[in-house]
Amino acid sequence: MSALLRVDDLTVRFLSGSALIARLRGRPVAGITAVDGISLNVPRGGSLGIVGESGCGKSTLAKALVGLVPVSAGSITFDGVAMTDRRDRSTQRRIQMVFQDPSSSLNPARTVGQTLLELLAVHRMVPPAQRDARARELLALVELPTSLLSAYPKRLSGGQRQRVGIARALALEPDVLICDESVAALDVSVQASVLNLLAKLRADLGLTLLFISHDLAVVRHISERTVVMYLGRIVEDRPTEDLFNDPRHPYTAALLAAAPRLGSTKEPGSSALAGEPPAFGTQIVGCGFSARCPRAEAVCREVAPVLTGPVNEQQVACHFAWPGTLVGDR
Amino acid sequence: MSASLLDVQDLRVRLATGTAAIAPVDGVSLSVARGEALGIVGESGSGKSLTLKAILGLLPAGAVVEGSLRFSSSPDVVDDVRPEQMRGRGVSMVFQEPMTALNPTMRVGQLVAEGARATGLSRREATLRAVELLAAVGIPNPQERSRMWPHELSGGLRQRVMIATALSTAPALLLCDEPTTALDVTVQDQILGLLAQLRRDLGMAMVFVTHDLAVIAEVCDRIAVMYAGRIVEIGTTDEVLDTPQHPYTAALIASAPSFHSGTGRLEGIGGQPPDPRAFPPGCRFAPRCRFAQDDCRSATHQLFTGSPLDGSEHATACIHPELLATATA
Repeated sequence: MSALLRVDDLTVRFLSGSALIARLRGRPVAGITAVDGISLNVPRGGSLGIVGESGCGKSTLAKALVGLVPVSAGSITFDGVAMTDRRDRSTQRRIQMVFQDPSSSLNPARTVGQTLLELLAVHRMVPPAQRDARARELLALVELPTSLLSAYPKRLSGGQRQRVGIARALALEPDVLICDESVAALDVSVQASVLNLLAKLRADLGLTLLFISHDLAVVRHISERTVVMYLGRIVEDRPTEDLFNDPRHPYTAALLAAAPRLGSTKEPGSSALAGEPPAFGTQIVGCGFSARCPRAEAVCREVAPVLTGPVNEQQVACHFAWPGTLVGDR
Repeated sequence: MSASLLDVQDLRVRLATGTAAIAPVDGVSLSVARGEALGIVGESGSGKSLTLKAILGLLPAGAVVEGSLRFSSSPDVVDDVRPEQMRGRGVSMVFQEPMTALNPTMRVGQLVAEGARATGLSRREATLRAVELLAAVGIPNPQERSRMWPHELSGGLRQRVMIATALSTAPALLLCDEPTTALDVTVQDQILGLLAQLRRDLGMAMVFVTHDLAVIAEVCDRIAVMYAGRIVEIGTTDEVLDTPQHPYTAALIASAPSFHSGTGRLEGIGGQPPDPRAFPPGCRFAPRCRFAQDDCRSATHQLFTGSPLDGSEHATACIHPELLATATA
């Protein structure tokens, strides 16, 4: 399968302080690297889950993909075409995002209809005469009654708002839909229906889905392939089933062990992962996870592991991920 | 139960909104035994947080609380108390947002010492006690950290500071309002572990409010499920999760994506939770319930114990629990 979305060595660095002053002092500009050399391959129609704790760079990655933050290094290739920071409207619309907080990502002063119509007009998606009909169609697509066209976001429930957020992204007929914690703010019963909707849209419209979440159960449910991020890097990138059944990176294993789940008798506090990720800007030598890792050895504090695996589909960045020389022995 | 530490009878919170008077908590009765952990689970707007706040008298001005609260400060003394008297009687609360719930203008040590001072310690003793408490909640370098400001700490450490502040008054009952919702999963596990350990070591009772059934399953002995301001099911954790007796509880369990569930369609619950300005008559879950019968819409709210003979206190407000039982059998 050829990749629809390809990311190579993507790095996003945020500078702190003044570049001019740094140059006058003859020092490098201070800053933090939020996304640090990430490579991804997403096939058309695929669904990729991106998991990690706060500050791991998963949202920055999403923003870089839609062009909301400038890329410092590396490249994003979409359908064979390089996506630069400056995108014209026709390329911009092909990757769309559904945000986390449906109450703050909709304009409170516009009705649902106005929001959708404006988008359709600005991007010239349909001829003016058909805009109304298209707006109705979009609401039907996300299973909302068309009577909500005249409603202000304030009047909608959280689940309805998130559906409007999805309709807004779909208005531009994107190929890729990036959901950044799109169900995190919803109650579990509502979350279930939004997840079902996303799965249905993916099947019906042939959408490619990038699903970013801290919730492992949700990611497992919706994605075929899962990427685990830690400190701006990918630590494990494998088919979802394999990753959940047999995590190879100690961080993935710790995440899975820490997540409370129904139907298991886990003692709280048994994940044995101490501390928290280091603060931004901490100089890290070797593996970024070594300070918290229960398996860390001397080599981990000196040499940063690279993503490797027996086959392209199975990639882990840990010195001890694949025991022996011949991997794939499980 | 004579041994109960906290006994809440028919708690009702009335709020006056612009146009109507609403009762987002509408007749909640529960009791917590010494050393017991009770979980209250429900979706947003179910009244679970408001119940906690009403117990401590932390409601906004204009809210009216009805019902009776009994708190036994020692095994042989039971007092009828007003909510505002609960604070300082051995009840403390841990809030959801460690970012906003700590006073940003006070050093961490002062925050903890303030509560310790209230128990009658001198300034110097309270400062020492604060450092002890910071160490007890697992903060590394407590001496040094006690001179830091809340904003200098990570989310997990801030939540630990909040727990230390809550412990500073040596409470017999700790109320936790979604204490781990804002935290990452590995940090959440640490905090849940800490709370479980403190409970064991100090013999503290806990009321734990969350929307996350899996978290409750881990830390609580009993579960109360709230919907639209009322408790619809209550029982031990195993009873409620293994054999739910209320369709809402069953639907909540089925809605949560699990590690075993695969990628099939999730159950979900159709419709929206009701608006407190217009609660439906009868069973408030009936409009969304797939087992609803005609008489559900006129049923009076009451908790039924399934079989009182076997001593179980597993109770449901559903008047047709047999329909759920046959559907799941």
